[in-house]
Amino acid sequence: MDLFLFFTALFLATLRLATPLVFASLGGMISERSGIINIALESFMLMGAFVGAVAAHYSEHAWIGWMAAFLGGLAIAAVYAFFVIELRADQIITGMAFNLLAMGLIPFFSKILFNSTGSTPSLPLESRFSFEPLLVAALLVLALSWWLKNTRSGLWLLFAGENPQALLASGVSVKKVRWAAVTLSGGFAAWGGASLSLYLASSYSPLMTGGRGFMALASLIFGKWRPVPTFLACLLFALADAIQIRLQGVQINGTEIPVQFIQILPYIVTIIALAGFIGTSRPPKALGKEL
Amino acid sequence: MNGNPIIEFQGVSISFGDISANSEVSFSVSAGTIHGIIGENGAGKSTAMNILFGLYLADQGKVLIKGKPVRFQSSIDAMNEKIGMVHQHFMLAETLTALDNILLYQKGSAFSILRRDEQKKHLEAIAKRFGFEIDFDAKISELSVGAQQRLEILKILSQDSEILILDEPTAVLTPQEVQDLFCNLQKLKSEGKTILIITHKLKEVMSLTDSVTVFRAGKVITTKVTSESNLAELAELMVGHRLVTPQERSTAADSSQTVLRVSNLNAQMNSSKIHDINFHVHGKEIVGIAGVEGNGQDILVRSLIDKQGLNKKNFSGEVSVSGTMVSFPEDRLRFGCLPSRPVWENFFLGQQGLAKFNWGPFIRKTEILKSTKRAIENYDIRPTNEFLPFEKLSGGNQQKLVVARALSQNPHFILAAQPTRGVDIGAIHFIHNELRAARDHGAGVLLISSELDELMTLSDRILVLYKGRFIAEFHRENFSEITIGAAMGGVEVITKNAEFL
Repeated sequence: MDLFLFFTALFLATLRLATPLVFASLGGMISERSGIINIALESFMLMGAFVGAVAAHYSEHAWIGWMAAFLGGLAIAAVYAFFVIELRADQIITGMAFNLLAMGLIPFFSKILFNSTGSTPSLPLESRFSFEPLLVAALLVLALSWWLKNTRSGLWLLFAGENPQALLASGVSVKKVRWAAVTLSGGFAAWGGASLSLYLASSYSPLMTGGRGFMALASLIFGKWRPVPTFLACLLFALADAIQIRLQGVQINGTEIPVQFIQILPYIVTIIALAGFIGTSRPPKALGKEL
Repeated sequence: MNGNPIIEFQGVSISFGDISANSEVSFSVSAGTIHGIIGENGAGKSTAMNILFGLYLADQGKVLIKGKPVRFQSSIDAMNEKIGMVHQHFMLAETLTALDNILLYQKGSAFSILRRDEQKKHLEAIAKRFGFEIDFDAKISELSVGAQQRLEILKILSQDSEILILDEPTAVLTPQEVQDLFCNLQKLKSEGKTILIITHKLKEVMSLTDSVTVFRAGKVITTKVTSESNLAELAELMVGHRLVTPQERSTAADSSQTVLRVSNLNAQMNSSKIHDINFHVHGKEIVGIAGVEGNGQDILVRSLIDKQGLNKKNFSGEVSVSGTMVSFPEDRLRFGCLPSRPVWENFFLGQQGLAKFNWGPFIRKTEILKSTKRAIENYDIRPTNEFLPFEKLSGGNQQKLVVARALSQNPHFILAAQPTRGVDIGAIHFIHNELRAARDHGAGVLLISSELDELMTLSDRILVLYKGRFIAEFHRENFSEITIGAAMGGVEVITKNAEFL
C-alpha cells in the first residue's frame, strides 16, 4: 500500500512538474519548426512567471495572471522576432542576450513595484488556481499536432522551416509566418513560466525557471520536433525531477547524500537522453539559416 | 514557324550595380513550341527567365504575354498569368510528402483544412493525363530525382499554366530519365503548352527544341529555327569563337606504373555504401566512373581522400596512391574553398606546406601573390583580381582556379570529381584540355562525373557504379551511350573481356 501511495504521488508530481516543460517546449516547437532557433525560451518563461505573478497579485485572480503572462510572453517574443527576423541578428547570441536581459530586467521591475530584489508577494490561498494547467497543456499538444497536419497554415509553418524558398515561391510571406510563430512561442513559453509561479508555487522567486527553458529545448530535440513525442520527452524529464525531489534527504547506510548531488539528476538524464538515446534527430532543414 | 508569339521581349535591360546582366534583350517565342534558351554561365539567360517569372523587375524594355504588356512584381503575378517555372534546385521540402508539396501551392485561407483525399484524386487525374505519374504519398526524400522533377512540373500543371520554364532540367537526370522527360515535354507541347528550356547542352537543344535563342554576355545574339542550324554553329554562337576540337590522344596508358590501386574496398557513410571495389589507375591514363549521383560516388571519393576520417568499422580494404595526389572536390564551395576569402588565399589553400611559400613560421605573401597572378593569367580567370572574394567569381572561374591550384603541383594522381559541374562550355573545354595535358605529362586521373559526354570524351576506360558496386567496365573502343546509359540504370552488361582489376 505504501508502495502504491509512493507511485501515485510520484506520478502526480511528474504531471505537475511536466506542465512548465510542456508549454515551453511547444513554444520552442512552433518557433523552431518555422526555422527560428529559440534558446530565448528561458527568458520568455521568466517573463511569463513574473508578469503572471504580478498581475495575479494586483487582480487577485490567478487566471488574470495567466492571461497577462501570455501577453507578456507575446511582447518579449515580438522583440526577439524583431531582432532575429527583421534585423537578422544571430539567433543564438540574441537568444542568450534575452536570457541575460530577463535576469536583469525582472529584479529591476520587482524593485520598483515591491521594493524587493526579486520575489513577488505570495498569492492568498483563495485566489490561487482552481484548475490543472496540465490539462490545458495536453489539449494544446493535441491541438497543435492536429493543426500542423491538417491545416494550410500548419503546412506553411513546416515549409518555413524546411524550405522557405518554396514557401515564398508559393506566394506566402515567410517573414509573416515566422513572426507569428515566434511571438506565439513567447506566449506558450510564458504559460510555462506562469505555471511555475501560479501553479507549482504561489509567487515569483528569482530565477525560478532553473534552466527549464533549456530542458524544454532538450525535450524538443529528444522528441524530434514533433508534438506528441516532445510531450512524452517532457514527461520523462519531469519524472527525473520528481524522483530527485523524493530522493532528497534519503539516507544510505546512515549517511545522507548531499542534496546537490541529487538535484543534478534531471540534468544528467537530459544529457544521457540527448547523447545516448536520441538516434537520429533531424532539425528542420532551414533552422537558423538566413532567408 | 507560324502562330502568334506568346512571349515577346522588347529591348529588356537590367543591371545589378554596375554589371549589366541583360542589355536590350529582344526575342519572341511562338505559342505551342519548345524554345531553347542557351548561353554560357553568366550570359544572362537565367536573368531573362527570372524577369519573365517575376523574380526580377526589368530596368528598361517591355515583356509582352499574348501581345499584352506585363510587368510582374513577383512570381505570384507570373503564376496568375499562367507562367510556371521549374528551378534548377527543386523547391521541395524533403521531409514532407509529394502531395503536401503540391498542396502548398493551392490557394486558401490560413486555417482552411487540407482535403488531402480529394486533392489527391484530382492530382492523380492530371498526372495521368500528362503522363507524370508519381507516388503522392511518398516523402520527397524517397523519390528519385527524376520523380522529383516530374513533381515540380506537375506542380505547375496543376495550376493550369500554359507557359513552362525549365532551368537546366537535365543536369541531374540519367540518360533514360532525360529520354522520359523529353517524351513528356513533347506530349505537353501537343497539348498546346509552350515550353522554354534553359540549357547549355547543345545536343539536347538539337533533339528537343523547335527554335533556340542564343545569349552571350547579356545580349541576345540570335534566335534560330533549330532545324535550320547545327551543333557546331550553335556552339560557336554561344562561345563567340571557334572551339578547338581536342586532338586524339598522343600517348598510351603507361601500364608499368600504377598510381592508384584500390582493392577489396568496402565503406559506408550515412546512407551511402560501396562494396567490393577493385580497380586501378595507371600513369598516363584517365579512368572514368560513371553513375547516377547517389550510387556511392561520395563515399568512394571520401575513401580516397580521407580514409582516416572514416570510422574504422565502416571502412575496410586497401587504398594505395603512389606519388603525390590532388583532388578537385565535387562541391567546391563547401569543401574546396573559403568562399568569402580572397582568391589568392584560396589559391594558397592546400599548398601551405610548400617550401617556396614559407619562411619559417611566416608565409611569403609576395611569392603566393606572384603564383596566383601567374595562374590567373595562364587559366584566363576573370576578373583578373587576386584580392576579390572567391565567391564573387562565376562558377566556371571558380573551378578554373581550383584546377589551376591542383595542377600547379604537378601531381602523379588526380582525383577529379565533377570537374565541370556548373561550368560553362568555354571553361569545360579548357579544363578538359588541362586534364589531358596533365595526363600526357604522366599523371593518372580518376574522373568521377555524372555527365556521360564528359566521361566518353576524356576516359580511356569507364567503370559504372551502381548501388555501390561496379557493374560494368567499358574500354574506349566499346564506348556507347546506350550501353553505358543502360548500365547506369542498373542493367548489368556482360562484357566478354571485362577485367575487373
